This record gives sequence, C-alpha cells and structure tokens, in this order.
Amino acid sequence: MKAYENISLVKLKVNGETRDVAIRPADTLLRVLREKLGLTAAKPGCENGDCGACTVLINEKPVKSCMKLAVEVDAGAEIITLEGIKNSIIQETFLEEDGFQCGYCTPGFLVNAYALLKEHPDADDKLAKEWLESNICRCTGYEGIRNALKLAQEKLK
Amino acid sequence: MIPFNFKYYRPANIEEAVELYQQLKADGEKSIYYAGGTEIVTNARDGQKKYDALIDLKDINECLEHGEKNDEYVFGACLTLNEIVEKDYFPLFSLACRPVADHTTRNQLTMGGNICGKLPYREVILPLMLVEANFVFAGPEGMRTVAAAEAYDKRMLLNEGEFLVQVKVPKKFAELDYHDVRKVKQSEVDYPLLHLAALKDEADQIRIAFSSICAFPFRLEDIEAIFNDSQLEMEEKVEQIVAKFPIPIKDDKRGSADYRRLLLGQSLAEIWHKLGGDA
Ligand SMILES: Cc1cc2nc3c(=O)[nH]c(=O)nc-3n(C[C@H](O)[C@H](O)[C@H](O)COP(=O)(O)OP(=O)(O)OC[C@H]3O[C@@H](n4cnc5c(N)ncnc54)[C@H](O)[C@@H]3O)c2cc1C
Ligand code: FES
Ligand code: FES
Repeated sequence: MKAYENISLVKLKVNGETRDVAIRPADTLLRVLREKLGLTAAKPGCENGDCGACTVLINEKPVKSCMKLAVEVDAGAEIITLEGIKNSIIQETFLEEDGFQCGYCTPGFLVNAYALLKEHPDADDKLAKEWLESNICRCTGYEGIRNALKLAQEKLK
Repeated sequence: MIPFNFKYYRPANIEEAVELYQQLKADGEKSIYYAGGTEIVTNARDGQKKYDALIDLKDINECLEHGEKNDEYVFGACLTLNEIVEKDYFPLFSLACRPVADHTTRNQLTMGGNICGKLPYREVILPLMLVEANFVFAGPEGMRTVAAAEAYDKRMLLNEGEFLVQVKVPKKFAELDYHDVRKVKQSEVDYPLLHLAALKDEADQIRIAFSSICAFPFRLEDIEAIFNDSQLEMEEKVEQIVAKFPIPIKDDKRGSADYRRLLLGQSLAEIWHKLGGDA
C-alpha cells in the first residue's frame, strides 16, 4: 500500500522529465506545477472544476489539475503541461484565427484541443463542442477558438 | 490551496482498504474513501469538509473491472464516466453518464463517486434503478451483494466503513427500448433542472427514475402504475404523479417549482411518445 502521511519527496514525470519534489498530500497538482516546479502555464481560475484554465494532460487525457492531488500521479504517470507542447499546429492556428484576447483561458484550451486533435483528428462539430465546452473563455465569444480548431484539423490532414 | 493537511493512502486490495479504515477509526482519525476526488478536493479547498485521511480506491482491481461476465455487465466503482461512455455496454447507462459535468471532468469523475457522493444530483444512478442491478459492497463484515431496491433509498445504504466495489447489470436490459431526458437552464454544461431515465420492460411497462427535480433521485412503482395507465390523459397522469413524489419539487434559483413542473409534463409526454406508451 502506498502511504503519504506528511510532507513527502515524490517523483513526478512532467513534460518528459522526472522531477523530485517535496509535497504535502493535500497539495493539488495545479499548485505543485506552478509553485514548486515553476510551470505556470496551467492557471488557477475557479479551482472548483468549472473553468478548465488548469487543464493538463495525464497519460494523454485532459484533466483539471485543480481537482487532482499531486500524490495521485506519483506513479510514473506522464504529465504534459502547455510548456511541454511546443510549436504545435494548434498554437499556430490560435494565433492565426485570434483564438484569444486576454489569454488567461488559453493554456487550458490549447492543452484540451491538442489532446482532441491527437485522439480524434477528424472530430466533427458535435464531438469538438463536447470536448471544448469543458473550458470557459470570458473574452472571445468562442468563434476564434472554434475556427482555430477547424484550421488545425485541415492543416493536419 | 487546501488549507489543512491530511494523510493519503492507496491500498492495493479490498482487504487493505477495509482494514485501514477500521485502523484509522480506532486511532480516532476521520477518514473517507476517495475515488475521482472531484467532490472531495473541491469541498476541502473551500473549507466545507475536513478529513484526517483519504483512502484512495483506484489501485483495487475489482473497482476497475469493466466487462462482461456470464449474463451480466460489470462496472467497477472507480471507472470514470468517460470509460463507461466509451465502452458503451449499456446504452442507457452511457446516456446518463455523458452529460454529467463536462468531458474533461469525466476523465476523472467516477461512477462510484457520483452515486455515493453527497451532492443531490447523482444522475448516474438513474438507469441502475430501472434494471435489476446488483451492488457489491465491501466492509468490515466482508463482501455483500445487494439488489438496487435495497442498496439505495434517498442515498446509497452503505454501512460505516463500507465502500462500493462494483455494480452488475443483467445483459438483457441492454436490449430493451429506452429514453433519457435531461433539461438544463441554459448551457449544456450545467446541473440539470430535471433528468429522467426510462425503459420499457419485457411486460411493455415503462419504468421511470427521476433525478434533480427533487432533492434526491428516486423511482416509485406507484408512479409507474399511474404513468402506464392508458385510461388517463397525460395531464391527469402528471398531476397524480406529482402528488406521489416523496418530497416537494425543488424551488430554487436554478428553476422555480412551477417551471420544473412544466418541464416534467413535457418530459413525461416525450417519454410516452418515444416509448410507444401502451402501443
Ligand atoms: C465541475 C463539476 C461538475 C459536476 N456536474 C455534475 C452533474 O452535472 N451531475 C451530477 O450528478 N454530478 C455532478 N457533479 C458532482 C459529481 O458527480 C460528484 O461530486 C461525485 O461525487 C464525484 O465523483 P468522484 O469520483 O470525483 O468522487 P470523490 O470526490 O472521490 O468522492 C465523492 C464522495 O463519494 C464517496 N465515494 C467515492 N467513491 C466511493 C465508493 N466506491 N464507495 C463509497 N463511497 C465512495 C467519497 O467518500 C465521497 O463522499 C459535478 C462535480 C464537479 C466537480
Ligand atoms: S481552475 Fe481548475 S477548473 Fe477552474
Ligand atoms: S481570452 Fe480572456 S478568458 Fe479567454
């Protein structure tokens, strides 16, 4: 049985690198990424599971890191944050299609859209909506984000 | 940030989990079984609830089982809702899981957490109330298998120290006609104003389970008798059905009782139409 009773030294596999980090069992993955590992792309928005600004990939699946304890992923899980997704097509098309304004929600959208493109490159509008409505944007009205995803799908063909 | 400390354990099997719960209790520690964490972590962060220890069930093989065994489908309590939707063994079950929360959250939120959780919606239980599902519990007295009608009444009837291991659904129910209606206020990603799941059984009787219209999910045979009475007009049925509700219709900032009553009438008519009533 795995047991974490106090501050513990754990190994987290983030963006392909194994990082040693001392954490409390009560630390969320979001806080550990930002405050202990200096990976600040995932954002604290609501910290309540509603907004998606904190989205990261765990074993290729998008997950809201504000609701995940860091101790849960101390088992060789592959964590990918936006810092680990460089020069992707979806980043390019977000720029081309004005997929953001203030940019606070953008890392969460990019990570989620990146996972969608990988798992379902041919996602139709219904499936794309189902995935992307996990994230909230207060600025754009979503059209630029939808267009960015569509353009990325075309470019990836 | 979660403003207090707790211990976190990840037992490898059912016995370890049950013994640990008992040990922590004997040591005077308040522990809680942990699955997806979406309710526990958010409640802990905003200070609503405090625990001394979490017992994570996600390393227990039986809680992750997902497949067919003889004439049943087996759903481990720690399956995420997306895993259930993706395998889609029992389509009405997938339909009930699919609108809960949002796609990303469903990569984390578990079936067991939804039906054993403290929030009033517990939408995932609806189809399980309609079929002769069996619930497998583990606790200090060992394992027990309980029929849906005895496993749930306003909440899961778990004894102290028990947890849900799996749910078993007879395969024959996956062949029957079904319909699911979920009404939300505005955005599709929201808690519902009402959620009804219905199934037409082998005797051509329609079974219905209700969530979100009252403070807890329920299914009542009296209500089904009224609904299946072909002598009654739909409006009469709705009136009589509402009179049989175990508690009053919810009346809150999401929707007034009158509005929910209106949606209920529309939803029941839709179910009658889709499932062919007594045709
Ligand atoms: C953003 C968001 C949106 C949501 N939207 C909806 C919605 O639309 N509809 C809806 O119905 N619900 C919704 N919920 C509520 C959610 O389904 C419940 O909070 C559910 O409990 C979470 O499951 P979990 O696996 O994350 O549970 P956890 O947080 O791990 O646990 C929740 C509770 O269940 C208990 N528990 C967990 N597993 C077991 C088990 N196997 N045996 C015994 N007890 C167990 C825990 O002890 C705890 O009391 C939403 C939650 C969030 C965060
Ligand atoms: S910060 Fe995690 S969902 Fe809003
Ligand atoms: S760009 Fe500002 S919240 Fe989305």
